[in-house]
Amino acid sequence: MKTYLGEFEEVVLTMVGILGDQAYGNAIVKETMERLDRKVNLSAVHITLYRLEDKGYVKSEMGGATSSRGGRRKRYFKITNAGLSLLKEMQVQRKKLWELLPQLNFAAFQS
Amino acid sequence: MSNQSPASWAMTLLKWICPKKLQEGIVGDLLEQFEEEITTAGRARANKRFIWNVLRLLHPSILLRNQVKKLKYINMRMFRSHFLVAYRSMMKYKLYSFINVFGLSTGAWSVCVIFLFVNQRLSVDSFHENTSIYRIYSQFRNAEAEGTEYASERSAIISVPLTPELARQTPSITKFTRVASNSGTVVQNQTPYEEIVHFVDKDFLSIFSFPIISGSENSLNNPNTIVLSSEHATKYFGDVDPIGKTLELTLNDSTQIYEVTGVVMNMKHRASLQFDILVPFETFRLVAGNTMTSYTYSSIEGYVVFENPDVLKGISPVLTSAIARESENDARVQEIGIQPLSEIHIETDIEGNAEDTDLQKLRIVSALGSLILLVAIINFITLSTSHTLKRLREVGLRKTLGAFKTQIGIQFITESFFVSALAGMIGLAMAYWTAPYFSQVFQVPFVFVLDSSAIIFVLLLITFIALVSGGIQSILLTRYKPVDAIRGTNMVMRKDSILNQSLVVLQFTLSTMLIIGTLVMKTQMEYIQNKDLGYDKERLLEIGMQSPSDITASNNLLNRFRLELDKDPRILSVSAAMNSFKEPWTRFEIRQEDDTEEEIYFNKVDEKYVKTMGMKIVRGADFEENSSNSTKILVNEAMVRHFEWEDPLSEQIPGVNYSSNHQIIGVVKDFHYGTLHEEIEPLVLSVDADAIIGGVTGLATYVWPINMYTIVLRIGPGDLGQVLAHIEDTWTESNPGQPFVYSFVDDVLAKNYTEEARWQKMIDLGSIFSLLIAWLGLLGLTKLSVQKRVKEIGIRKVLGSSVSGISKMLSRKFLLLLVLSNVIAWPLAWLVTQRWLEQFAYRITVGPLIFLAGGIGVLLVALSSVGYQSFKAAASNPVDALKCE
Repeated sequence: MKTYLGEFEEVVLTMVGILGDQAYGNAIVKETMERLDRKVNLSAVHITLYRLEDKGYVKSEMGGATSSRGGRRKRYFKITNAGLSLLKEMQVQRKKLWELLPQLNFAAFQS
Repeated sequence: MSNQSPASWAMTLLKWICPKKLQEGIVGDLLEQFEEEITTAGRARANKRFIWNVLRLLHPSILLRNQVKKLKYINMRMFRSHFLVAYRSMMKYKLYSFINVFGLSTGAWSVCVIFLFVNQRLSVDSFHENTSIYRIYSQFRNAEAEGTEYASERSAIISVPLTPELARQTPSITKFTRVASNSGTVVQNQTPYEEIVHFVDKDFLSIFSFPIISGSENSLNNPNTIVLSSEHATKYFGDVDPIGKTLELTLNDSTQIYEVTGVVMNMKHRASLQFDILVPFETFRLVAGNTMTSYTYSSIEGYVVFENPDVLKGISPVLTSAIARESENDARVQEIGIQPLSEIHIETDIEGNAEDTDLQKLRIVSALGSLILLVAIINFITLSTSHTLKRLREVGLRKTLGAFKTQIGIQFITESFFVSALAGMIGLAMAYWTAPYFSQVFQVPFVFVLDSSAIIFVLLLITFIALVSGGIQSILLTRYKPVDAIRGTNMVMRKDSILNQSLVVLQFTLSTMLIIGTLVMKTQMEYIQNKDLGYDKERLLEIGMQSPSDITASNNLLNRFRLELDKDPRILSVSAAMNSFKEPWTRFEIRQEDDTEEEIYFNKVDEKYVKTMGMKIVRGADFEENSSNSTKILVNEAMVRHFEWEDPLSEQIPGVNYSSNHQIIGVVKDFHYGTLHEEIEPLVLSVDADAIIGGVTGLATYVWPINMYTIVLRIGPGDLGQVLAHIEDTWTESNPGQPFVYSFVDDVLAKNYTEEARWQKMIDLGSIFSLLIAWLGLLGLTKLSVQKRVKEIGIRKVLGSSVSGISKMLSRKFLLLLVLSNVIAWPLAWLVTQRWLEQFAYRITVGPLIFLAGGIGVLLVALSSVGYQSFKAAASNPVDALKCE
């Protein structure tokens, strides 16, 4: 069965990949803000992360103890091979489609 | 801390919605963001954002991950298994299943019907949109004489000008309407119809929310307009649109043509105010005459729309003085009060015309339904507990295989739920089918409407039954250690019998009480039927007369009719009277020296009345022929007793300013002119009302002015139908245009007790059902207890016990229980029946015989099930019992 990702899911999944070992909820929100200049809601990110986990594209584990955040540990997410290959496939497909698109040629409009 | 942490409720909610596994990560992230934002954006905004984040987490993918997964993967599968096990065990033990389902569905049925009925009665008048409608009531108080404080009953029957005067003086009354009623004759297509006509002010249709089918709220603005209920529009005009058509209506001799300007729905049984024909209030003048402006004659009801009802608290004295100015020197003070429309239908203290429901009675009916359900639930509990003890092995095995206590609890509750849901649905279906019979048999307005409240009620009912019985079962069963349970020791079963025994006692106490109640009611009703009323009520016919306004004309009319009928030998006697047995008789008040009022009932009769009625004169003589314009009166024995007269024939009725010139010529033996609920009060019969009316200070009457309104006929033996046809022909000939409205006195009297007859039927039915259910329960219970002791019985027989000895041994326990329940039921039943009997002034004395009969009857019925089972067990071959293993 082929699974598709929504746009927001794709963003979150990509960010998990980019952040590597440091991917947890808050870091993803900050990274998205920094790289895409896009403000995302933390709860929405969490909901999406668990959905991605259900689909098997990320896996998660608890980090070490912290002194901040009321002493609560962080849940770190890591992209799985399935997730990475899905992202890759999506890029390939997009590239193919992009090439099929007639490139805008401003000169063509002049005649 | 409080400064550094978000709103605590949001935190609690967050913890609640987050699945345990994810909680730490999510809460941590949110807190981290919160802490950061406190420094960047401030505490308030951080808190707001935190709350928003929590709310965002109320998402199916989080919530369902939390709670439902458990249900989905563990419980649902178990539920299916529970249902399957429930179904199988029901099929395996068909008798118990039948007793349970039958009992519970009967219980559910009675509760459903009664809930729907009570709910409907309580929602009377709730369709009126205006919530500030009030009814005016008044009360007369004797303010002057200290110590002889006297206050009349509160009554919503008030005088005609009171309502408009109140509205004039009280600015916060925005609208008012008076409601009067009187009988009238409508003639349509040459057919006369005797109808009750309601006279209302023009705002009536805008104050109340009776749905207007055609016409408008202003339909009654003009004189000689008429508004009909939809039923009556169809009655007169069929399918033709009645608007603009005319009707001929005769009120008190005055015939006028009225134009139909509106048709409304009269919301039968859903409004306390019932009407069929509405005409503008001004028309009431035709009926009321000069009492239209009097403050002393109370004959109508008044409704007002009050913007600010608190104002009335201070208005009563103001108004009282205003009325005092208007009314002729009345020593009494009239106090005014208002009563919200929503209370009218459940208020029985304030006397009025509105149809009301006695809350007390609704309570009794609800109690009756609940009792039946209780008896059924007890069956369910006792049977299932003794029955499920058989399943101890199953429980033990389940426990050994790792079932938790709660799981076994859930299993039994599921099973109970299965049974009670089945019973609830059957009960509801039965309620639906029996609703028309219910309203027919008990003569109560009732239609089956399954609205949301009814559905919720049924669901609650099912859940209630399931939780109660399933809960008790599971508590009993899960107590045991698995080892004991698997071994199935007898010791285990003994423990629970205390609960079962007390429940059986409770069941039979209730049944016995109901049976005794039935017997008492039946005896009292028979007593009423056969009581000597002081006159002969058989073959006595009353014909209602639309009385012309002057007495001579009505006498002429009467004489014409009488002359014709006297020729017929089948008619023994013809007479006429003012009051009929359909209504309470006219009551006068005569003020005494000490400022108290003596109340004396009155009926204007003709010379043949006493003879026609078959009454007895115990002293003096009856009226002579042609004694109109005479001062002669008859009194009853109660009057003589009341005034302690030695020689009544030489006495006068006492009273200050009482000016009537009267002469008592005879004493008539006490007869019941009212119902048997009331004592016989002092009564005066006179041919000429002037002999008694002068100087009377108060009056309560259904018929006014004084005239003849009823013809009384004594019919001799023979076929009634032919005589009746002959009377009708004669009537139509001598009174063309007047409808022939007749009734037999014994029927009319029976109507006085319809209420009691209805109750009797209801209690009859209740006691039969409760006894039947209890009997079935006992049947099942004995069977179970016998089955448990099959081996014991076998051994006893082998060792030489006789059949009768074993039967006795088996029944003894139940016999004791039944005797015990009788002992409890008797005093309780005595108390309850005494309270019921107290409403009758003339009643039976309840002897011990009724209690014995009721108790022994129940005992015999119960023993028939116990004895049969015991005998069957005792008579069986011991080999069958002992050979297995």
